[in-house]
Amino acid sequence: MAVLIGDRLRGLWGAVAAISAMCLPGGVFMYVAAILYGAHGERPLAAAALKGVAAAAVGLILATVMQLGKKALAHSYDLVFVALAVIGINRLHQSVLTVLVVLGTVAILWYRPGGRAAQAAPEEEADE
Amino acid sequence: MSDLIKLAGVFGYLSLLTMGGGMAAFPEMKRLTVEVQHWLTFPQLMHLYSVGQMGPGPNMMMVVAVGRWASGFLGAVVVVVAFFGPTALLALTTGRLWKRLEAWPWRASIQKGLAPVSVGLLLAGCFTMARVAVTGLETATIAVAVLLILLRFKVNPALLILASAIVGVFSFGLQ
Repeated sequence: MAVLIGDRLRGLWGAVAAISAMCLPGGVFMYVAAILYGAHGERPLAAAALKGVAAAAVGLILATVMQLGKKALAHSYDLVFVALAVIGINRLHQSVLTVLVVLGTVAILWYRPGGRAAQAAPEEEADE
Repeated sequence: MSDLIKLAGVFGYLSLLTMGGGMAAFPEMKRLTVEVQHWLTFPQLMHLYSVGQMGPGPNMMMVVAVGRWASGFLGAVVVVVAFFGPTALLALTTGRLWKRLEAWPWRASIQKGLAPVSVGLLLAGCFTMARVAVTGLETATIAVAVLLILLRFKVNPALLILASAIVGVFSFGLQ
C-alpha cells in the first residue's frame, strides 16, 4: 500500500522512501525485542507474559480475518474456498504455495469472465 | 555466509506468499525456519511473531528478529531486503500493470477468486498458531476476549497485547 502511494506521488524513489520510512521503526523495535527475548525470554515471568501475548495475537489475527472476510467475501460459496484453504494447510499439510496455486486457479476459473458465478456476482467493488 | 544465502532464499520465497497478509505465510515460515533449517523453535517463532504485533509499522517486521536469531545483524538486514523487496517490487509493477488492465475481463475474476483464498490462507495461519498458543481455558479466554474487543471497539491492538502480557504474568507467572 505504502509502495503504491509513494509510487503515485513521487515515482520509484518515492516508493523506496515510503517503504524505508515505514519499516525502520518496526525493524529497530523487533531487533531490540529479539535481543531482549534471547537474553530473558526463558525467565518464568517473561514466559508467562509471552503466553498471554501469544494468545492475544491469535485473537488479533482472528479479528483481522473476520474483518477482511466481511469485506472480501461476496458470496456464501466463497466460504468453501476459505474452508478448502484451511483444510489444505492444516489437515493435508500442503505448502502455502501449493494451496495458493491450485486453489487460486480453481477460484479464478470459478469466477471466469462470462461464467455463471461471474454473472451472478453483483458488481460491488467497482473501484478501489 | 551460507546461512545468509539460506536466509535470503527462505525469506525471498516467503515474501511471495504474503498476499492477503503476512500471516498467510506463517505455516510455511514455520516449516522452513523451524522444521527445515532449525534456526529457532516453534514457540520462539510464535513469541517473536506475537511481540511483533506490538511494534510500529508492518507487523511482519518480526522477520527481523528471525534473521537476527539465525545470523546476527547481517542476518536481520538480509531478511528485511529478501522479505520486503520482492513484495514491494511486485506491488510496484503489478500496481502499474493493474491500472492498465482495468478493462481486462479476467481482472475481476482474479480479484474475486483470490480474495476468498487469501482469507482462507490467513485463517489457516491463525490455526497453525492457535494450536500451540491456545492450550487451555486461560489462553482461550484471552484470545476470545481480544477478538471480541477488537470487533466491537476501536482499540489500539498493541494496548490489548500489552494488557494480555500483564494478564499472562498474573495467571501463569505468580503461582
